[in-house]
Amino acid sequence: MANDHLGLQEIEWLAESSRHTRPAAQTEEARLHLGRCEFCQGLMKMYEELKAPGEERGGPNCPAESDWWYVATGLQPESRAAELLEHSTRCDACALLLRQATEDFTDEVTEQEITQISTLPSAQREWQQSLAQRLSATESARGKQGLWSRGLADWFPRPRRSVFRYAWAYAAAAIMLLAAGVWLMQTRREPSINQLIAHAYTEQRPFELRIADAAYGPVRQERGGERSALAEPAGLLKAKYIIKERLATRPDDEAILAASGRVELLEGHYDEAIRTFGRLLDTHPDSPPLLTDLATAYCQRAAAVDRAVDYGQSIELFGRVLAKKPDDPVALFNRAIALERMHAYNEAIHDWEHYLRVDASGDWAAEAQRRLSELREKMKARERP
Amino acid sequence: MDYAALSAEGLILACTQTGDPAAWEEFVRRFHRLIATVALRVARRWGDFSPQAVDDLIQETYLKLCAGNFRILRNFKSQHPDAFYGYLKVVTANLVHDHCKTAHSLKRGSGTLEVAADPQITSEGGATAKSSERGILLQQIDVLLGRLAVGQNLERDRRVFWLYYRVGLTANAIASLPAIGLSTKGVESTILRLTRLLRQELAADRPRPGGVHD
Repeated sequence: MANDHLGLQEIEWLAESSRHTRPAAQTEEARLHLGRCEFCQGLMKMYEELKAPGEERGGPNCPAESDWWYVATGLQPESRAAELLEHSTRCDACALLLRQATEDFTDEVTEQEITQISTLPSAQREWQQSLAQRLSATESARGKQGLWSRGLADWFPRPRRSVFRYAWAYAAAAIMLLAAGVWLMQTRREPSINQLIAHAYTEQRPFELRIADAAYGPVRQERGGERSALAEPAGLLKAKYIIKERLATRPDDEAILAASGRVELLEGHYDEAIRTFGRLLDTHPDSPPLLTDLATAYCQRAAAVDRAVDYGQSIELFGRVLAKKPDDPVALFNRAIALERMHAYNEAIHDWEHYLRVDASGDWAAEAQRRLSELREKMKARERP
Repeated sequence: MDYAALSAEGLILACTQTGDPAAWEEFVRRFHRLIATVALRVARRWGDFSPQAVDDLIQETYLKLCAGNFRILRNFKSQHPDAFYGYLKVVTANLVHDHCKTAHSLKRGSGTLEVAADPQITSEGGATAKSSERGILLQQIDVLLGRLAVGQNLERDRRVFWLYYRVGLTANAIASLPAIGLSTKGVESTILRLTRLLRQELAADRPRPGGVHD
């Protein structure tokens, strides 16, 4: 510091020593420098003069207070922000508003604020979970604007303190709703999960192979990696929520685990799907639906990571299904595709022909017919000299 | 589904388009602290920041976000990666400010709503001799700054200088303004550079040691 002049921070410490707490040694060193450096004495005097508070008086052309909020958060367009900042340097009233906005919106949180916020009832996890439940439940009335607004207002009645005064009533109502919901889930959920998954598959068929009970849909994307969560059909999101909820209370529920494996499959998480179906097969080694799902997962992983051995595994598993259920349309359809990918065209043609005997009409049949025709063309081309 | 992995925009979409409580749970988890902090700070300015009052305001903020079929959330258009955080700060501040202003007006006994003067920005009176002296000094300095701040960033550097000295923002607060586009270090060095140059200039004009003006 002997050779250097004081820095901005050091000038601040010295000028506002009552507000800044700094190590005594540092401040003392700065003070000693100030005592012997005329240049820094001048800087300090200038600092004090410039920092002296001016008059705080807004004029008719001053921007609205909220404009300063937009400046402080970067939501104001750049040219307008520059204009406003310029104004703030000439208007003490607006300078104060800008200062307040930056203080209110700073990401730095003081110890005192942390303490105050963490002791609020709303900081409790239960409060937040309850709020999330209410927000999502209300959201289901989307589209019925009037009812929706009224319903939400009922949950946040005015005066606001009555929310707490009648907390017991809300709690009782919530428990009753929850009980009714649980009952509905118990009676209706299992079939609906598979329906949701099947519907999601049809809506956005993510791969060529079929899954059980799903209606026809054109392939919309074929990819091995992860898909955007937002591109997922709403039904799939709902299915995932139900699965998550059910597994939280019954982690060994095999039907739900199988559904979760199907979701993993649809989402392109083939490793996880293989693990899930594999674990379930340990207890049900001959289950055709599980064997079909596992075989489909192997076939998809084979394509995703270019792993031919998985095709072999897939074809073998489909074979086990067909040994038990020779006319299973999903297993026939899927094995035909696995065989095509392995360039076993004769075997694939055999499966497509078999499939068309089992399912002769409809969209799936049309796709099978198209694939069969293409394979026959390929075979003809091979046979040509 | 892992809502925690979604961007703010993605999460808003998930909340408004699906009925998944897990999405809302993540929304509350992610933004609650921000809402609570801004609500606390703005309420504190108005003097009503009891835990009960702040909690009510937080609850009101969620209500406002959801009102009109999520109008506020649906109207949000992202301009930069952290835009939603700023947007939420403004929404919260707006709500708390309006609430406190109304409460303040009613408390003053008129029973009718009036536009409350912000308690923090009342005038101290007419111009005094001291303030006009200061005004001259500031004008003088601004003219000098116009000469000293050179190059492409002339305007920005001059603005940084005044934001620090006149507006009273810290270097950190100036750096947090997206319109400035400088780091805290950049702000500090700009201020110090201009201050030193000014000091030299003023010392040359007025040879009296240590003084910046008469």
